[in-house]
Amino acid sequence: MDGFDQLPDALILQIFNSVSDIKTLIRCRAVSRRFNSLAPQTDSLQLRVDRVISSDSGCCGGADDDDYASSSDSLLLVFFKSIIKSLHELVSPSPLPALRQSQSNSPCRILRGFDRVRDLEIELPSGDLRLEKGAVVKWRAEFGRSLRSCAILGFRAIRYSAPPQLPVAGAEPGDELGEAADFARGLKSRVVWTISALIAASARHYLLKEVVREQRELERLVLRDRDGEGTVVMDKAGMAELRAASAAAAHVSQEEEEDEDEDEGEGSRNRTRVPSVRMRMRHAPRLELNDGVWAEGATLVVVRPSLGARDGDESSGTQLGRAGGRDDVAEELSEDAELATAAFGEGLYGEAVQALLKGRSYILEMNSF
Amino acid sequence: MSSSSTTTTTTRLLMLKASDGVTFEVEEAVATKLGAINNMVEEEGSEDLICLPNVNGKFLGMVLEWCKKHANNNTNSDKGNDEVNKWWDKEFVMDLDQNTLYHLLMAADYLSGTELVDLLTEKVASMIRGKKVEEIRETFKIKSDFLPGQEEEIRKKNSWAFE
Repeated sequence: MDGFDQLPDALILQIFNSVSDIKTLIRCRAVSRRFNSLAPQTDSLQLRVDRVISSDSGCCGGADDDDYASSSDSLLLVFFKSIIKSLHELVSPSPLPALRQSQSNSPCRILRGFDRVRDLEIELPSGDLRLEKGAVVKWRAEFGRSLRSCAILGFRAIRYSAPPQLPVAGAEPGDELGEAADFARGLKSRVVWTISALIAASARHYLLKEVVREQRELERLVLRDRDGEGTVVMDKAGMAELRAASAAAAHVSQEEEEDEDEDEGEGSRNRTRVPSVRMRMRHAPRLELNDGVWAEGATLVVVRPSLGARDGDESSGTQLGRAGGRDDVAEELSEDAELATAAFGEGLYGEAVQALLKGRSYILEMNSF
Repeated sequence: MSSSSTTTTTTRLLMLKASDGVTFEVEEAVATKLGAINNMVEEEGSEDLICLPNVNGKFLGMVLEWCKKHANNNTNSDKGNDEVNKWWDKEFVMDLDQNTLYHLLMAADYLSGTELVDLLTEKVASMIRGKKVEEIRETFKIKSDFLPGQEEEIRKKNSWAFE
């Protein structure tokens, strides 16, 4: 025995784990009998979805208008309501629903050959957001059965020279009125970014359901896109929670023999319902970053389910039983910092995050949608 | 090999003996980058001569060269180290012929040199990734040993991957 064949199975498996790309690994199965028996045991996989088949399912219908009407309780919410509808059209239909329909290469089917997957990354060909020209938005969301957190970082523009001064001077530090005015400027587009990101995140989460149901060994699941726009992350506990919730939902719908009318309000939308959330938004009209890079209209939003909004979740009271005192605010702020730092890492974006975290933050609340 | 005549008591030297009798004198801090040697040192303590009957001198030498480089780079503790290590790792695996690559991989695995194993498996993986079935067979000199029809069956089931 010489050449490649002298390597023991354990090392070949490590090599396959390192190959990671599912397409190549399926090809490996056709190389030899030994390859065919080892490749399906790979536990760390990456699936690149190259082709997007446009979705023809009507996912943009306004079937939930009644929900919104009954739950409006603030001016801001009315404002949100009006833009959420238009946003469903803004966010392009996600590619995976289409893949689910085309039976031959749905992620689930592709993965069916592999039964020990612990670590899975799915990469979509592109991001979902349609933004103003020059704008950059990135987000990272963690999910269980529904949203656990989402960090969103956006810039109206990134320049490689100092931007021209605006006619209205920016706020001096400590000038609260000025800061508030700065914050209000462009608020609408920042809210649009935030909601778009949340819709994109919840659509992607919805697509992972089937994969989570079938791949029981999964410990880490990441769904990202080649543009580096959005990332959905689920950990082992989050996936267990989702499986339990779907099993319970299936049970209920069997008993009541009602098919489409789900509690979670997912019926016609092809996305997971976003719970009522509390968002902490930070904004800077201009940020000077390293190497002469300037970010304009820099925004950081950290989104979390509102306290008490995570119904069916009372058991995990340790995290949620906060009353809202000063300690809790401090804790929330440091959690924000952790989430945002973890989401956007180092480099240019990390630098912007650190700068934004130092600034004042504003809280916005939003009902479930 | 630095014959340290100075009285730096911190650097203890170990003798490593390969399967073909070749011996290497290595600083403990370097050799213990290898998990297997680290265990032996911790368990047997005073023993200065370590016999490694499953690795021959050529590959043990290469593994130790890698360890030494990484140990040295890591002592000057500034941030550029990762870059230096990466660059050096790339050089290290660049011109390895396949047989050396496999033996080195097995030696590193036997010695529990996790980082080196990762580096080498990634090198082999990069030779597989994105290739067609025939190209993989050719690269690694593997002959198909499928029974008639088996390969077609696999291709048919996953036709999208073979386009």
